[in-house]
Amino acid sequence: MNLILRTALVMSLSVGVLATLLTLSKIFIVKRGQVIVKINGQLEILGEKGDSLLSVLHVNDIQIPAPCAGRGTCKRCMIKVKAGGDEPTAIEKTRLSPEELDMQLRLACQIKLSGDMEIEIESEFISKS
Amino acid sequence: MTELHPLTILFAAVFTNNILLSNFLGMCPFVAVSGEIKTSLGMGQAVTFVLACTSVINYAVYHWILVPLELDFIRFILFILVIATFVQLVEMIIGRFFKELSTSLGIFLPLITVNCAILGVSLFMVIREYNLIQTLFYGIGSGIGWTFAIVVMAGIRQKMKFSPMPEGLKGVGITFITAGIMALAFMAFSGLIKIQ
Repeated sequence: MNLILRTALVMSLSVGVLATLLTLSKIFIVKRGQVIVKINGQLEILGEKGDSLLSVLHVNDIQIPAPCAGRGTCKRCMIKVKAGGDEPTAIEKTRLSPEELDMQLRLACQIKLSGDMEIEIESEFISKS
Repeated sequence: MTELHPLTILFAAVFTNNILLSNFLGMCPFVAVSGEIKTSLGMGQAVTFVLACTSVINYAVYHWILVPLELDFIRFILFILVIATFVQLVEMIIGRFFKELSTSLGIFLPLITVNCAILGVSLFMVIREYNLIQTLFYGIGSGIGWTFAIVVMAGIRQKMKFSPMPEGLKGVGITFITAGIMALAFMAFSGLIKIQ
């Protein structure tokens, strides 16, 4: 009984300490703030820095298909970045052809919002929402 | 308690007991991120940093909390918890201050958590009964050894891109064969120092 109690206590304390450490680090290290994503030059949506573009689009009811659940394997969430956005990730470089990368095509699931950006998607996804 | 000098342990961890080429731990990122020297060097630095820090933290957790409380059987869970937390921290720091490195490492950065070399070092530290200083040097040495192996592999793979080879062997196939030959080459060091 004593052993079970000790185990439970140590485990709970460890998880508590580590979770607090992570939460505090997230507050002090990760840059937060809102960014504006302009879609097809007509619609503007807001997102949090650090969130994936795909999840921000989905939250705003723009249902771009993502059968692979954002793992970057199906290429169905391909969009065109007209302005803003970081460099393509390692996964995008393996999934997209050099021609597609030259055309500024990216995978929405791999883009982490770091600033305002302008994108182009098929208009049917906007009209559906 | 092992009586080896910390520098001997460091040398052994890099060459004679290379965690990757003698224990074959941490093979997943070794195969996946060894495409380019620059990326693999970044990954190696991240792994070395995580290894050095987690081995010391896990030493403290094991010897100062688990052993006095006779709870050493939960060391696997606690070691993994500490490693996962630490990797999250490193990910946040790299994401904030080294944007380019964060982009090139991509998904492999959070995957350091499940890099078995990290847990392997913490467990070897317990099995070989290292003290704190020895553990620190073992962690750093294993990280340097892992980095050394992945950077050498990345150099070979960059050269192999332009070499003719059978279609079926391209990619992972030839990487495994190369890793095997590299491991054989590293066996040449094995007579220098003997640690368990």
